Amino acid sequence: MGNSVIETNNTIILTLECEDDIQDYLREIEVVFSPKESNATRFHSLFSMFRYPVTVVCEKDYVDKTYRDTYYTYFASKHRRFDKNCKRLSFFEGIISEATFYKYDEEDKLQRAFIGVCIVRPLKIGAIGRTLLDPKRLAVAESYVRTTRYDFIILGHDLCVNAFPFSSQDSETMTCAETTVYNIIDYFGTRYPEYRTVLPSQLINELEKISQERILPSRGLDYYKISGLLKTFGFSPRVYAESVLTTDFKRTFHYYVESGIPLAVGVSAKCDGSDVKHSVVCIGHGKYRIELSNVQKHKIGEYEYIDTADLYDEYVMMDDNQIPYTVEKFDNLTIYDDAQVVLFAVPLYKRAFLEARDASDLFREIFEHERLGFLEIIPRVEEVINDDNPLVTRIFLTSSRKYRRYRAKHAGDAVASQFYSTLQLPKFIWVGEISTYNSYTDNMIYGEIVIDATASRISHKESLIMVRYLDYIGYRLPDESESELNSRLRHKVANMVYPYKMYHNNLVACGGNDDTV
Amino acid sequence: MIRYDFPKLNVDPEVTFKAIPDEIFEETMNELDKILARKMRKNEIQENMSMEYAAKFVTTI
Repeated sequence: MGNSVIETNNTIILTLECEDDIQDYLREIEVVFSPKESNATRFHSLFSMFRYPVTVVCEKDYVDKTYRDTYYTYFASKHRRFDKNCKRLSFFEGIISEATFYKYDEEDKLQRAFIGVCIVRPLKIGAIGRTLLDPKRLAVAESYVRTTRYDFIILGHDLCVNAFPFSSQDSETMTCAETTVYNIIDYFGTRYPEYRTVLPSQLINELEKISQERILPSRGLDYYKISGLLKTFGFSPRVYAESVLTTDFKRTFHYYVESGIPLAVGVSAKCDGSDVKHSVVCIGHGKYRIELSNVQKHKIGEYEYIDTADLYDEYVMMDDNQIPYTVEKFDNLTIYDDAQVVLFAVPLYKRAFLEARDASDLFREIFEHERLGFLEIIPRVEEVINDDNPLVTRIFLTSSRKYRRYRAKHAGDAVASQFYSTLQLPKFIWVGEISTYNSYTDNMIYGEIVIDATASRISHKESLIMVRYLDYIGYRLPDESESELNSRLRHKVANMVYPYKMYHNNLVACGGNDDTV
Repeated sequence: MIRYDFPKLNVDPEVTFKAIPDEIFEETMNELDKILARKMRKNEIQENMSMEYAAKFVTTI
């Protein structure tokens, strides 16, 4: 065990020098273990995510709003005694001296070392409570994930961390289904003013309204109710089932992941020979790419192009039966055998009407069009397009606010910056970026097609807002017809630089790389 | 008062990208609209069926 820095009535600060200290540390803070020791195994896995040495501040009697809520809603009614307090563990990289924790003019030093927090619930099953850890500071596989900022006060210090919420299931008030919904709502409620965070009892109250049976103890939920809960709390969810979408299913899944939208994912699997159904949250994709020769090719004239949705098959999961930020293959997303994604629910914003498949269809029709498409421009792309360097398309949904900010700052020239910063756009847009494989690897693109996400299915071609191919830009303002876009697209814009920067905003890199996508 | 308008892109007056001639543009876009209408209708039918599966998928673990 590492050196004990300080112990007060309520706080223990210890430094763990290596992974060998984990077991002693867990004993030291008296984590309650179940007879199966599943808690011990899970905590050990969680602590194995850190880069050692790591200093841990343990507040022994901590009031966690989530657990306290379930305590009063459920656990307090039981004959067996349950503690109403939790422990809060706060993690810091390196050996942090006692003095540092009490120097309030050196808060930056603590902030730079801050990894995040984990609530330890006094439960035999599901002791890992609300956990917020910065994936950039963990030993996780290289990947791109969605996070948001969470603020804390620890020993009087204002600290923050970029994380996605995680917790294990207690199996009585919260199973995988409730945990999935709870963490998605917690993320949106923390990140956007349009939403609010909720407590478990609020989820249970809403479920009471739509269920014909009792809710507690929980026996899991169907995805109809999961979607209903998301709708109750201000989202406009859509559910996609694999058996219906078949070939488009994985691609649709990826478009939403690339858009930085956390997905509620229903997985069917085998556990000890029995069929099980599980719910997890997908918050990003892995960095590993499938070999080009194994990626489906599409045709534009005599040239081939690939969709980045077909380039990745690893996704970042928040699975309450594992540890945070696990990277798993799409065809085996959980620890169970033969785990297949059966369906997923997308918590869309209420004004984002156009769905991924419609946006993708419109993009392809324009991109591949013999006159309006990219084909005529390809000879001006100053790269050899061949089997090793095909054209690449990347489709995602984003807010026009973030898009405008990024493009204005990274357009590469004053002409384009001015254009992007003032272009009239709806609140949400679908963007289809055009690149080559080599340029995509260098985060550069040769063009883009922008589609109005506030348009409906019946809008069809009217949802087309902008087409940019190299230094040609065709756009139309809200009251203009598509012919305006067409006539503008005919003329080359002077002094416009290409290739230009690929859009980076929806996901942040972790596990060793520094990019954002 | 100084007025600043939407920036005008400085373009080459000569047509360099063929795009679609004005006279057939509307016709082309209408054809595109028909293709999209068919595809999106198919998408809608499929996606509406997804909710049937959602109701049957009950988490168990």
